[in-house]
Formats: sequence, C-alpha cells, structure tokens
Amino acid sequence: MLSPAALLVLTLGYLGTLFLVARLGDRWAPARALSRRPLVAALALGVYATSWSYFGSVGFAAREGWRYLAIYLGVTASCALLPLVWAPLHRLVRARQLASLADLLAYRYQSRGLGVAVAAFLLLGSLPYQALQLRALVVSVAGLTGEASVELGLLISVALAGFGMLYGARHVSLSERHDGLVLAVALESVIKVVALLAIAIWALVSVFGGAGGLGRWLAHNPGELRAMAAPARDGDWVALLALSAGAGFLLPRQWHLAFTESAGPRALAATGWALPAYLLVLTAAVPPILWAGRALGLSGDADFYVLGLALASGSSLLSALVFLGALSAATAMILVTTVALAAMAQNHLVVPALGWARRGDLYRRLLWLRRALIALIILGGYAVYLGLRRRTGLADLGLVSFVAVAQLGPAVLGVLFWPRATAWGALAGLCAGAALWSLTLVAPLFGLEADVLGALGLAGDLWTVTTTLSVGVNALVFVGVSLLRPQRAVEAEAAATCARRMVGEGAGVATRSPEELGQRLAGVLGAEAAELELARALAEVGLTRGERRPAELRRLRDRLEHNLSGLLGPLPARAAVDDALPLDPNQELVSAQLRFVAEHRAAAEAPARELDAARRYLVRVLGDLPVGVATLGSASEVVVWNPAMSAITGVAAETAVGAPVSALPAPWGEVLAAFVAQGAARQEVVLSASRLAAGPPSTRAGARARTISLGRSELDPGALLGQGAGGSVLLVEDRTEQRALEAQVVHQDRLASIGRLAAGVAHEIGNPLTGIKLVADNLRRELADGEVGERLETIVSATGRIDRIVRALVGYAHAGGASGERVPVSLSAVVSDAITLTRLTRAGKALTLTAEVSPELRALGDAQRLEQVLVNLLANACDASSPGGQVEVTAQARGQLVEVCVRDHGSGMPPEVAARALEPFFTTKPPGEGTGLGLALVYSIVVEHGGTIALETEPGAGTVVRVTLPTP
Amino acid sequence: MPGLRSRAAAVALVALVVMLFATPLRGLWARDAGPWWLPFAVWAPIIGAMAWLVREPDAR
Repeated sequence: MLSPAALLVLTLGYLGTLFLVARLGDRWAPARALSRRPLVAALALGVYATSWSYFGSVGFAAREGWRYLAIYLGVTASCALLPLVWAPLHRLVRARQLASLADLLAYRYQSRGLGVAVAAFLLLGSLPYQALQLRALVVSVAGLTGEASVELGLLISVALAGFGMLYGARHVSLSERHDGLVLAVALESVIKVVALLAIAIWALVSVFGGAGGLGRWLAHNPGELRAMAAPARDGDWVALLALSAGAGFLLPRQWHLAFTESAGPRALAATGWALPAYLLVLTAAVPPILWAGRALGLSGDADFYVLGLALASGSSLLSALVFLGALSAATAMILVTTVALAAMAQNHLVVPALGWARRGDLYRRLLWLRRALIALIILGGYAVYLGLRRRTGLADLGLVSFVAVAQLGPAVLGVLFWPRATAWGALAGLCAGAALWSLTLVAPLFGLEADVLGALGLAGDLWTVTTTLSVGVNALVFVGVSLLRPQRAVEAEAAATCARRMVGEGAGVATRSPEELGQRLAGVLGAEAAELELARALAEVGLTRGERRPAELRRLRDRLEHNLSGLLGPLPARAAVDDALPLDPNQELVSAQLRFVAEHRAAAEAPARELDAARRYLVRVLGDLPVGVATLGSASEVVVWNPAMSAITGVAAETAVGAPVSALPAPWGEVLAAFVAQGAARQEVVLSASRLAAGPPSTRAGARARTISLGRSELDPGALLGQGAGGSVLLVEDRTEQRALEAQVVHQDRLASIGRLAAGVAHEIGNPLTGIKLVADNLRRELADGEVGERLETIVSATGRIDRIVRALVGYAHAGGASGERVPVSLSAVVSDAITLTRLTRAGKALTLTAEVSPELRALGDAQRLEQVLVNLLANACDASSPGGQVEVTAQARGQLVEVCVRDHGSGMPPEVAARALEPFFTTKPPGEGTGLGLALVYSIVVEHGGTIALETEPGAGTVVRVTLPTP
Repeated sequence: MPGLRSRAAAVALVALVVMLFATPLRGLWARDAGPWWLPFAVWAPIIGAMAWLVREPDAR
C-alpha cells in the first residue's frame, strides 16, 4: 500500500518528467530527430491502448474470453490495409494540409455543416471517454492508498491542460508537427507496456512459479481455458474486428498521431507492423494477470485485477509502477485527444462562428484560441467525470466510443473510393447512424432503457447488433441520399482531387500582381498576416513580386489557399481566398490546365499513358516545326510556344507560356498584340534594327532590320477541351533572308540587263572605234614627226585604252552565266582586265592599284568568272582602303597550284566579322550599299574551280585574301 | 485510390484479413482448450509478414 503523499510525489514527478521530455523534443535537436524516427512515431500510436486496455482488457477477457483479442486484432487487420486506406488518407491529408478528420470530410464534401456535425459529434463522444480515464485513475488511487481522492483528478486535469497548452499548440499552423508531444506520448506508451509486463511477469513467477506452474494450474482448472474459449467460439468476431479496425485510425487520437503529427510515409509504413507488435506484447500480458487474479481469489471486478495483483505483491515498487502505467495510459489519451479535438473545434466550431479573422494579429489569436480550447476540453472532461456516477465496465464505455467513430467510416471510405458521394448523403448517414448509436448504446448508459433492439426484433450479441444496425443504416442512407441528390460542382471537383484525378482549375485570378493579391488578402487576414502569408507562398512556388502571368498568379492563389488551410481549416481558407482573391470565370487558363496534366502525368494510369503518348507526339510535331507557332488562350495568354518561336523571337518558352501576349518582351508583345487585335489573317511586319535592339539579348546582338510574316487562325471554341475556351494560333516566320534574296534577284536582273546594254553599246562603240584607231594609226605613220605625230600617238593610245575597257566590259558582262569550259587562262591578262575595270569605279580611281603577275602564270578555269572573282576582291579592297592607299595583286606558282593574293592596307576586320565574311547576305556596309553577296560569290566561284580561299586580316592593318587555283 | 482494380484488391484484402483473423482463430479454439499462448503464436507471424511487406516502402 502506498501513502497518498507518495502517490502525489509520484504524480508530480511523472508529470514533471513528461514536461521535460516534451521540452527536449521541441528544443533539443537529437531529441527532435528521435521523435521523428519511424519506430517512435509508431510507439506514439500505442495511445490506442488507454486505461480501458490497461485495466479493462482483463475484465473484458474475464467476460468475453479470447474475444478481447479482437479489439487489437482489428487494429492489426487495419494495419494490413495500410497501403489501401491509411496511405491514401495520409497523402491527402498532407497534400491538402488537413488538420483533422472533420477537416478532411468538410473538404471532400465541401460542407461546413458536415464539418460542424463531425466536430461536435466527436467532441461530445470523447468527453465521457476522457471522464472514464480520470475515473480509472481515481479508482486506482483509491485502490492503492485506500482513500478516494477526487482532487487528484482535478490536479491531473489542470496539469494536463497546462501541458496541452504548452506542447500541443506550439505552431499556428495546425498541420505542423509537435515533436515534444509525440516524444512524450511515445514514452508513455513504453511506460504502460513495461508496467503491464512487469505485473504479468510477477504473476507468472510469484503466483504460478513460472510457465510450468501456470500450465499445471490450467490443467487443474480446465474450466478457466474453457471459459476463455467458449465465448470466442460462440460469439461473433466480425463486428468487434471491424469496430476496432475502424477505431485504429478514426479515433481522434489515432488520426491525430497517424496523419496530422505524421513523421512521413516511412513512419507510416513502420506503423503497419510496429503498432500490431506493440499491441501483441500488451495483450499477451492479459491472460496471466487474469488467471493470477483468479488463482489468488481476488475479490471485486476483474477490471481492476492489475491493481489487485500489485497490492497482493506487497511491493511498493510494483505498485508505483502500476500506478505510473495507469497514469501514462490515461494522460496520453486525454492529451492527444484534446489536442486533436481543439484543432477540430477551432476550425469548425469557433472560427466560423466568430468569423473574426479580420482583426489584429491573426496568428497570436489563433494560438491562444487553441490553447483556450485545449484547457476547456480537458476541464470539460473533468466536469463530465464529476457527473458520471453510474458504474459502467471500462471496456464497455470504450466500445461505445468505437461504435461512435465507426459512424464516420462510410463517409471516410466515400472519400477514398466513391467520388459520387455527396455532402447530404454523408450528413444524413451520419445523423441516422448517430441517432441509432445514441438510442441503443448511449441512452442505456444514462439509465434510459429504450428497447429499440427488442422493438426491431433484433437479438444476439449487443456489439454485433448495434454495430450492424447503426453502421448499416448509416451506409445505406449515405448511399441512397447521395444517389438521390445531384452532386454540386465544388463537391465533384473536391472528390476528383481526393481521387487524384483532378484536372487543374482553369479560371484565372481577377488580380494583376502579387502585390495586389497581398493587399486584397490584407482585407481578410489583416496586413501583417497577409504579408507573411504572401511572402511564404511566393517563396514556396518560386515566384517574384514582379510576376504578372495569370497562370502563375493562379498558382500563387492556390498555394495561399493551401497554406491557409493548415491555419484555419479548408473551408474557411477557401472562403477567405475566394473573398479576397476572386476568380475571373471569363479567363479560362488553358495553359494552367495543360501544365497540370503535364505535372500529374506520372501519376496517371494506363489509359492516361496512351493519351500522354499522343500528347507527346503532338508536342514533338509542334517542337520540330520549322515555323514559329504560338497558341493563345481566350484571355490572350500564351499556351504553346514552340522552339522555332523561341529561336525567332529570342523569348524562351518558360517566359512566354502563361504570359498575356501583350506582356511579352519588346518588340514582340507589342507586335503580336497589335496583330491579334487587328484580327487580320496575314500580315508582314518590318522590324527596324532600333526596335529589335530593345528586345531580348539573343536578338539584340548584330540587330538589323528583319521582315516578319505573321499568320493567324481562330480556334474553334467548341472543339477545345470541351469547354467554352476559344483562342487562336499564331504562325510567325522570319522572311528577312527570303526578302533579301528576292531583292538580290531583282538587282541581278537589273545588272544583267545593264550588262547586256553595255555589251551592245560596247559593240556599237567598237566598230567606229576601230575605224578611228585605223585612221589615226595611218595618219601617224604618214605624219610620223612633229607635233601632229605626237598628238596622233595620243589618239592611238587613248583609243587602245578605250578598246581594252570595252573588251573588258564585254567580257565581264558575259560572266555570271553558266560556267564556261576550263581552259588555261593567263592570270596576268585576267588581273590586268580586272584592274582596268576597278579603276573605272570611284573608289578605284582614288587608289593606286598595282599588279605583279608573271605573264607565264596560267590557271585552269573560266577567264570571265576568274575576272569576276578578282573584280569583287579588288572592289572590297578599295572599299576597305582610304583614299590614296595602295592595293597590290600578286600571283605565284605553288607546286600544282597558283596563288593569287589581293592585299590592301585598309581598315581590316575584327575576327567575328572575318569569320562570317564569306556567308551570303553578311555585310558591314550600310543598308542599300552592300548586298552581302560579293565574297559569297567569290567563294562559290573559287570552290567551283577546285580552289581555296583564305582571309588574313587584322583591324587597322589591312587584309590579305589568298586564292589558290589549279594550274593546267 | 482510383481504378476498379485497386478497389477490387481492397475488397479482396479486407475479406482475406477477416477470414484470416476470424475463421481460423475460431477453429483453433473449437476444441475448448489448447495451449494459452496459441493465439499469440498465430498473431506473431502475421505481424512478421506485415513488417516484411513494408520493409522498403520506397522500393515497392
């Protein structure tokens, strides 16, 4: 027997240890890490075993034999279903930041009423159960000290209220983990199993003298084993198994530790075997305790054989341990249940009723509200304890609460497996089930014996009948009402989300920037909280405050709703976000929907994989098109932006997709928006170099005027995604080169006609010139001396010069046609003709052109085309030189080749220009002066001749062009 | 948990577990008596199997 003072010290010491452990779990990193280990999380779920298991299991075994195991085997069965039930619920709860079972049901069925009903039902159903824990404690104190002490219940209640306020409401977000609380609860699980095992081992060793002694005692008392076996054989197992399987995760404390305080999917998987193993150890202690109690002939209720054995042992240590076990079983249950219920009550009963999210510091008020609720619920449990005088078997009260939470089973299974279920169905089912539960199980507790079962003609095992009746009617009403009433759109959407089949919401936000979003939110949450939430959401979705794309703003809005859901619960969060940040139903954000599909394709099932293959194929086709393609949604936001489009505009797809077309970087936003606004089907736009220079960096370098062809076609609104979303397809082509080529062709045509004209003129000049030359020559011979002879000499040489010019002109005019025959060509003649022609140009006149070519040097080729090569090279050399400069042409034999060098001492070229000098249409001359074709033509002629061309250049030092040609 | 197959698998598993726990255990005690540790001996391997099944949640 322990003294009351000793028990008081023990109680205070134990509660102090609990505070210390919780504090360490919250503040000390190694303890926090320990609290997140899968096994610790699973141990915490041992909170399933309350005073009812600790004391009541022995009593239940005494009455129901082996059937007491069903209450633990059901949890094991539930754990076997972990991948099918627990894991999807876990994913859903974590993904949607749902803090409680009421949150889940309110979210899935989009019904505040259902949330209120579930929260109220669980709250009212849990208070008697908490009272039961306190009574068990007080009874055990009375048993151990011989004095009844109601004050102890108050003391413990106050201490637990303090503990819950300190460690059960640390974070303002309901879905954040309380490491200290979990660690403390896990420790309590260890203490109660150690205490129960200690008393069982004492019983086995001291009462029976070991396992052999127990065997002999059972052999002498065959009735004991028969008493265990008979109810197990004759009674019904299924109802008990189903009840405890449901209670395994539906009880508020189980739900809270398994999902809300979850340490992640690994911890959940470990729970699958660790929780059954824990319960196995716990229940294995029950039979020895029961039989020891019988063997010692303990008086009184078998519910308290644990206490009786501790007293019979005469060991204070064992008594203290048993008391600590009882204390841990009761306090763990009260604590976790209260924290879970406080979250529920906050989200579904208090916040919606008060609706005072608008004023002052939201975070602080929410925290204090929850702390107040925790204190209130614990003290409410104490009040019920004071009122609950009627003696009821511990296990019976426990089972009453199991049947209560089983009423939530149909609605929860509906969340997972039945998208068609509706809020009215869930509410009606819950009401019907709860009514039957109250009539058949609760009313008798308060002495109101309404014989409903008898009236219905139902007989048999109480638990089987009441469970089958209440849950069966509940499920039938749930299904029937769900099928009778049409499902609302929001419900269907939430159901699809829960079933992971959601297609992203397409509507855009009626705000233009994150700042505006924050300001609107401030009207609902208060400025400080709105700013914090906005900053958090921006960081989480990786956006900046400069974001303007509607689809990204929509993502930001969704994130805000998600975070607020962890703070206020899903429906108030949605209401707040809808209120502050309304959606614009006129904006169908196709891009957001496509993004959603792309993001979720990994989770898609088989038919979706085929769809995905088709989608990839189409994306590939779009990607490989050589034409720039962009599609616009109905809000003129960019939906598709293919790689060719990025290449033409220099705007990356990541920037463009989702942005309104007018918000694209200059000049494209302006150009495309104007084109879309005009409504024209085709248009050609010339973008000046200065406009392009203001554009994206990749188009800015070496910007020159570009000709862009735009095409557009409307998308059929009806054909797109089965919705009213219209839009258009834009085709963008860069026609710059094509237009330049066309201009070049025209230019060449003109040159060719001038050439033909020149050839005709030259021919016409040639005849009279020959006459003049002959006459002048004859006259010179006749008048060989004197001043007249000299003048005639001048006439002859001048006509000779005219003749050479005319011949060169005729020769050049014939060049550019089909390549002539390859014949040995005198390089000196070709060079001298080219120099003659070049000297006719303005630039050529201002320079000294010299040639140093041996008359014997021959190249194999077409004289006219080779002349064109030299004329082009000399023209470039002249353009690059300043007036008065010198251009030299030299030629040398190099083995089987001959090398012709054209050297100037002009401005030279930087390397990046030299690298592109041979490209067609590349020119450094001002627009209209050069075509960019001169060197390209040279290159093609040289290559055609089987030769090579090389440029040596240095800015400011001049350029040497070396052309090698084959020799005969 | 979309898809008919998953639902069918869930129903099958529930049925299996109920059969596993209810029928054989009742059968074990049909002869009124047996060693008292028998139920626990039946239970332990089931827990072992569950632990083995979830040994690498990421790999499955």
